[in-house]
Amino acid sequence: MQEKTIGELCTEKGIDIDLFLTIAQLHIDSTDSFSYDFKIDDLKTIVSYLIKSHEYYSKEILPSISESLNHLGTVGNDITYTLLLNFFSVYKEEVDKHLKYEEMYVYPYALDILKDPNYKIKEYKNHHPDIESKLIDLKNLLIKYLPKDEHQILKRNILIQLLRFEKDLNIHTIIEEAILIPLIEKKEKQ
Amino acid sequence: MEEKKHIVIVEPSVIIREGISAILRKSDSNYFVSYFDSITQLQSFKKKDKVNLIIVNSNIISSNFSEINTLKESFINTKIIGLISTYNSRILEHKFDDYFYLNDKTKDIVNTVINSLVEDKIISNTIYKNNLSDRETDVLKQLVLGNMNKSIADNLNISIHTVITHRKNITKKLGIKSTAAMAIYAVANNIIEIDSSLDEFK
Ligand SMILES: [Fe+2]
Ligand SMILES: [Fe+2]
Repeated sequence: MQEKTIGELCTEKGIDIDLFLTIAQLHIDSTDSFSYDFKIDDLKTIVSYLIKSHEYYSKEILPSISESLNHLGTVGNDITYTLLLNFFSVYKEEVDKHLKYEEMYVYPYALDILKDPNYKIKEYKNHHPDIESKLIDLKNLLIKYLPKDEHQILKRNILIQLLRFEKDLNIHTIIEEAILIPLIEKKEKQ
Repeated sequence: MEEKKHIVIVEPSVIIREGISAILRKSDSNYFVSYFDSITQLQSFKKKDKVNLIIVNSNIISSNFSEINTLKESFINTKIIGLISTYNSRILEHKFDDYFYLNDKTKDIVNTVINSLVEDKIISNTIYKNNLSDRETDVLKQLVLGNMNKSIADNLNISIHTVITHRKNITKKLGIKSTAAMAIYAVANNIIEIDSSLDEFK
């Protein structure tokens, strides 16, 4: 493959390079004050990024964490592992619901595909459910409160998966709350 | 007269450290504030036992955990507050005795500082070793069994307000917010046994 600059790739894909760099920058230092001035035209790129990351969560990350927890439940002879697995499957359902709602209403609304005169982004702004706190619970259970046994490596690997997910989810939430919602509000005012 | 409390701010940015001391001056108490650019510089400070409180910018330690650990060792009896200045360094919160955010309101910053100055380090250390008090354990059990605040209050003969306070402390000590995760904690620590009353968690 021929080497290309980020600029070339962005042009090829029709993505504003400053927008791309602003989003990419979040992975290095997540902040919610940006030097880039988001435009309503950016919504298309932003939403497509968000949809892609939903796909990444539901098709890759969540199933692989499930799988690891399942494995731990099978090899570990302890009721707490079974409970942990159940805790996660309930959590996973909550996350799925969260993602589905955004894909059904918020994102289409952002792109003017959903034309419901009664729908206002305010609803979502005030009730954007927290899907991070249970993840933190799970992390703390793994770090501090589970039996010390021969499955420490397994648990450490699950922890690493959780940390990675948590970080991505944090950034995802910043994009939704500090970029997407304000942009949609701006558009509503027009 | 009570001695002035000595607060040390470890922060290379002049704007931030002057900002913090301006905020501290707004509270009634009279503090003596001194500045250090880095942890290394603070380590060479002679009168360590005279320091009542240290405020450190999390940015300084984010790349080097060992620095904060040695700092804790040299200041065993002094509380260390973290100034969390970027979203990512939220993961460092637990490295400190307490913390505030760069964009916190004056009131919250002052409260964090005042609370840290009055609370005894030794006592709060045992708190953070997550030993739940007997009462908190009672509340935890009730929560895990699916009781609401109101019925917990009735069952334990305490006010709803007290129940809520206990809940908050349980969350703070364990780092666990949801009841379902508390249930797992309770089972893993033999606080409750799995029986028919816990069917929903099985
Ligand atoms: Fe989302
Ligand atoms: Fe979301």
